[in-house]
Amino acid sequence: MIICLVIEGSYPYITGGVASWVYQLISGLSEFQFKIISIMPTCSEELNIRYEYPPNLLEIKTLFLDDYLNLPKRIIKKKISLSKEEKEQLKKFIELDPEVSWEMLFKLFSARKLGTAIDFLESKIFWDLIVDYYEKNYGESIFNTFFWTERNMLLPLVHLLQQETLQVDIYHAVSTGYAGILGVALKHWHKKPLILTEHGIYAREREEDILKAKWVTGIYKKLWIRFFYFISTAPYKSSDEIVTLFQKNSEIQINLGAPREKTVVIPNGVDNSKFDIINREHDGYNIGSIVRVTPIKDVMTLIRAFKIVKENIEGVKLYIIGPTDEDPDYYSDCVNLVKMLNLENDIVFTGRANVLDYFSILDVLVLTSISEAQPLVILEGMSAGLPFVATEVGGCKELLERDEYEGACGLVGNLVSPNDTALNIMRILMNPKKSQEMSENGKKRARRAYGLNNLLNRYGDLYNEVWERWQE
Amino acid sequence: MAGIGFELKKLFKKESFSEKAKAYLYSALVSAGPWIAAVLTVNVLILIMDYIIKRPVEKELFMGTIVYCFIFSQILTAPWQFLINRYISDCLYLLHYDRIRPSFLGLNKIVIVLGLIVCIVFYYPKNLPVYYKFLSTYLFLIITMIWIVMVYLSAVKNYSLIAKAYILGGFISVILTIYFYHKPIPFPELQSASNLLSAYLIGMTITYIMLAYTFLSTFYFGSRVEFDFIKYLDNLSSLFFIGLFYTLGLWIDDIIMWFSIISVTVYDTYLYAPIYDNAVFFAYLTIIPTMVLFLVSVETEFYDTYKIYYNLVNGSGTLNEIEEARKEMQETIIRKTSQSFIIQALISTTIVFLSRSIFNYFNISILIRDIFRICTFGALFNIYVLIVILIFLYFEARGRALVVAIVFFVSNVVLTWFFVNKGLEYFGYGFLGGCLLTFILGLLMLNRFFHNFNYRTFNFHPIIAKKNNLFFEKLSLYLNKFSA
Repeated sequence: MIICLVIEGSYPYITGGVASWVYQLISGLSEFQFKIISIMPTCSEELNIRYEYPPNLLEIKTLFLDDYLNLPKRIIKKKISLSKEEKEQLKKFIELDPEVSWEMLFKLFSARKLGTAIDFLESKIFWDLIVDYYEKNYGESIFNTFFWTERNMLLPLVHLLQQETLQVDIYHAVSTGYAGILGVALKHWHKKPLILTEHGIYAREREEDILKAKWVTGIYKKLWIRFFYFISTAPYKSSDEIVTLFQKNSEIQINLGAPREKTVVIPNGVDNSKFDIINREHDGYNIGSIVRVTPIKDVMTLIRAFKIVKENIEGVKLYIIGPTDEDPDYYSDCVNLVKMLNLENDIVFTGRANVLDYFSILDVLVLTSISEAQPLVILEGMSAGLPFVATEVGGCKELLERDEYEGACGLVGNLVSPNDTALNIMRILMNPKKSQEMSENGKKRARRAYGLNNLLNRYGDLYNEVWERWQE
Repeated sequence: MAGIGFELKKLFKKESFSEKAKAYLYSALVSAGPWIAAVLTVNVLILIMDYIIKRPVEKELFMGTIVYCFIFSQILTAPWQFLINRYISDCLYLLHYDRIRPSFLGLNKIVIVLGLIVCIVFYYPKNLPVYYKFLSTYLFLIITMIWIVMVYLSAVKNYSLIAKAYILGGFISVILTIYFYHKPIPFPELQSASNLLSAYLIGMTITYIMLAYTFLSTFYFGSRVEFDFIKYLDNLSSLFFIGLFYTLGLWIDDIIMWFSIISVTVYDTYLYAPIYDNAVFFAYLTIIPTMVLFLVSVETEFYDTYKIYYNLVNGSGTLNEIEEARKEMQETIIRKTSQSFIIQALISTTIVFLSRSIFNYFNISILIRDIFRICTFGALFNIYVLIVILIFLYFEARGRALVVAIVFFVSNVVLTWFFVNKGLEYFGYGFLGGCLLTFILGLLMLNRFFHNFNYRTFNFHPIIAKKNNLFFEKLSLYLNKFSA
């Protein structure tokens, strides 16, 4: 059986939770064969392969959201004639109406009945629809901005839905958004089942990005947010199975329109055998944080929290373990902050490193992210028996708090709060007994619920099940 | 260099996207302006000539020389005019003031080399005295260079000086003609024609020197990229062909008439049709009012509405405001154009009615008068063909402008060819028919073009800009190495 993973901004080019998950899944499920459609934002930047290719990965097809730049230029425009129903659906599409018939749109776009994405967006049909939409809803705003915002928003999407794709047995989209909508299209085109796995809730994440973004202002923030909800809710309706990592996300998906009976929770998994680590004796206290140095991980808060800890406890050190080259500006801001707080001798940026080398000398792990799904580093920390201090984002609380099987294996605090984080670190460092309990709880829980085998078995079963159901 | 930018900025205050449109109009006007001045001068000379030149064959020789120099220098330079105009206005817009002078030098080099080749090929085998060949070649090149410098002067916009240059040059030609009548230069052969040509030549040279000085003293600085403008042929080659076909169309009926029964051969050199050529020359004089009227209305009302529309489109207009501005702009175009058309039609008709007494007064042949009457209406439609082309160019609809220019050329060829063997009374109908046909087609195209205008405006610039064929950019880089 061949499964095609449809992913966006991830494996094999961008490191991170989803990419590692993809790698784990493929290399762990050697009885299945995989192909990948990897959607990347731009064809104008060079891509570096960051992961190994497992032998059962047959093919990677990379699609670029902006490679309409290479479309041939047509001098004479074809006249487009559409049925009333087709026009009605295009109108809904442009108005971002969730009731739109995607099936008809996929047919329209892929058959190039409307020409290429560029032909379509330069066509009279598009113009009439967009003017109509503008007059009804945006008549008071600057038309030029509105027009180009609409075009820029729809161009990558329409273009994506016209790409050559891969034919396999099961499509598996690893997020909603562009990957999700392409997954839905693939299901319709090739009449094959579609599984959706969402780590973080895509539409929510884009909403947060856009609210903070500077490239879009005023009413257009709303428009872009609507756009992402529009494309993200389509896969909820069409997928055969909707997987997420923890219960809280599952509820959000249901709120956004996913049918409850199709939702499944399959948590991340770690290879526990790798994390049987014996703590080495060391002086003072070592705090670790396994992060890419990027704004989403809020390393600044971590550094400020460490300053507070340092003022209260003698002999503490902070190891920030992970790549520093992904956002050089942010990294240099962090380094400046370290200097400003006079912590140069107490904080170490290790750069890309093997986390196992550090686990044996750490006393506590910290994660101050402002957005997470179900961080693998928490699972790894738990597996290695390290108490964890995290922020209350994504599935962190569910992972660390007391449940019906074990007690807590870490503490959860508010995000962007150096105080909360510092207090939680000190609670663990100053209370060896509690720390020891958490360590034991973590080890137990990681082995009970978050083993890699659990993940692989459940996906293996899911693929077989979906396939069998489809055959009937 | 510090002061230059400042000075020029004052001169070109608020150059903008829409300034390009105005530049097209100036280019049309400046190419018509000297034409009118020259026709006037030549006609004055012809009047004097009747008294001076005793041998009619020398008169015809002089006329032939003038006609050939005008027509062929215009065909040689016209293709470059819209193109170089666009180049200049882009340079002004991008503040590349230092590229204007070198492009002037570069373009002159190109047309002078081409002009010399044409002259040598044409005159070498001809049985004329060497000095006459030399004078003719000189005249041809001077007129060629005048067309070019006029385009550049549209950037300087010193219209009173341009007018003075023509008046002074013409005046000197007339004075010298009278002077040479009393004290001729002792040419061994063709004395009258050579003296007349010399007088005219000196006048034109003085005109040229004044014009060139005005331009070169304004742009007294420049980089060394003389052939930079050639790269415009990559993406704006349509401008080249619009100029070429319109000008070819303008003269092709004359050229066809040279092979008709009224054609005359002078010294085995010039084959031409003095009756027809004269009639057409006079006919063109009747459209001066339109040129002035159109300039004034474009300068004032239309240009303002144009600016308002594009500012709203590119800036902060709602669609409603844009739509209002569009209506205003198009109504202005239609109103102004039809107003000036009605006035011009009245003037042309009046002149045609009065032509009997006018032509009698100047004692001009009835044959010329009959053709003149037809060609006056032809010229009326012809100037509106040019205006349609200009309107298309304002809105960057170069493809449509090119279609109009080509249709004009083709229809003029076909219809003139059709009527040329029908007999004397049909002379001029070919030109009239070609102009009328193109005029009607142009109006229909314009009407269609204005339909869905906002859609066109917003979809004109492609979503993605693409470079495809860069042959001329490479050529321009190569030629720039030869810049002095």
